[in-house]
Amino acid sequence: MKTENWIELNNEKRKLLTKENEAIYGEMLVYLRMSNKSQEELEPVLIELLDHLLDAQANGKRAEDVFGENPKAFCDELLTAMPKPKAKEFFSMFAPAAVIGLGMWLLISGSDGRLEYSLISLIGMPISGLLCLITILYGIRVSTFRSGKKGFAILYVYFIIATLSICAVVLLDHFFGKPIFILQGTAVYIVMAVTAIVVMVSDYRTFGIPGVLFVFLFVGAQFVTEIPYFSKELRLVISLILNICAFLVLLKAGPRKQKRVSNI
Amino acid sequence: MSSTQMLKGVLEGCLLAVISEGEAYGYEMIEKLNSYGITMVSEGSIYPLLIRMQKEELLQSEMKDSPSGPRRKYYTLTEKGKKELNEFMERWAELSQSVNRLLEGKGEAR
Repeated sequence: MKTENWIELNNEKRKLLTKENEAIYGEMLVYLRMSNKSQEELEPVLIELLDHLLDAQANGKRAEDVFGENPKAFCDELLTAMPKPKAKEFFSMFAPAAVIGLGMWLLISGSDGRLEYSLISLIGMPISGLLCLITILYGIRVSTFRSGKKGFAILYVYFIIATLSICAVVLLDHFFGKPIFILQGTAVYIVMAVTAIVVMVSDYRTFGIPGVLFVFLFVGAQFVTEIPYFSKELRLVISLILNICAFLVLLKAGPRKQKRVSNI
Repeated sequence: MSSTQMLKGVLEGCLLAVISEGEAYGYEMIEKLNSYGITMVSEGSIYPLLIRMQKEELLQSEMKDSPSGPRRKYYTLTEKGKKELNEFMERWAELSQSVNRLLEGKGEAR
């Protein structure tokens, strides 16, 4: 059976759990899927645990009887027992996210019809972008197994740190960056068109419709500020609305991103 | 020391013994262990062991339809697993004899 079939089966079977059991199992699911273990090996184990929990439930046992009082410790024990992930699988998850991130950066910085990069932004942006990705993934992992508010607070702090690192690079670039790479005219539009297609395709394949929608709204928000026909205020308002929509989409797709990644 | 802690060291051997009685999936193993009076605080703790034992090629597994319905992961012993079980049985016999000898008569001494 393929990974996506396991996940489908998991989604189906999870509906049979009681509310209390689904809460505990759901947290474990996020925590384990966010680990660096091979999905191909992990998904069958997740089904095995779910089957066990369903059997236990049918016999009047609680999730605590199956996973102990400390499900996180149980998950960690399970993870240590599992083999190391395969590099190939890791990159197949990581590469699309990197492509989408870099592509969005190019599209946004080219929204004024010019592409110019300084050494600071060429080195700084990919690094802080990577930092973003890692902190958010790690943040989701850390925030599981905490009661609602606390988990959200942790995730929020991670998000702020990641955002600040990008702001720092943008500011440094603004004050100290000297452009070393400039592209203008038709070439910019060709590069951007190709990038847009690559981003959309890999976004759709990895994150599905919500992912594409997010990129569309987020990048669109930057483009609106460049439209000459509207008044400055109108541009700002439209851009703000698009940005808010983008984040609403992201919130819906956010923590469940992993699920969606694998649904494709 | 709780019996759960004591069990930890010998659970692997117990699982080998249970599986040697015939192929079984996780929940069945728990039921069989229970039928011998071996209970655990958290049943799930057999899974990290099953994963590790499979990695060490003591066990092999196969997805099969179960009599009760859904497909289950059934475990069987490999040749290496059978050998490991025999060694466990010898070690356990020695250890339990020694511990029994040590404890003999201690009940009266109190």
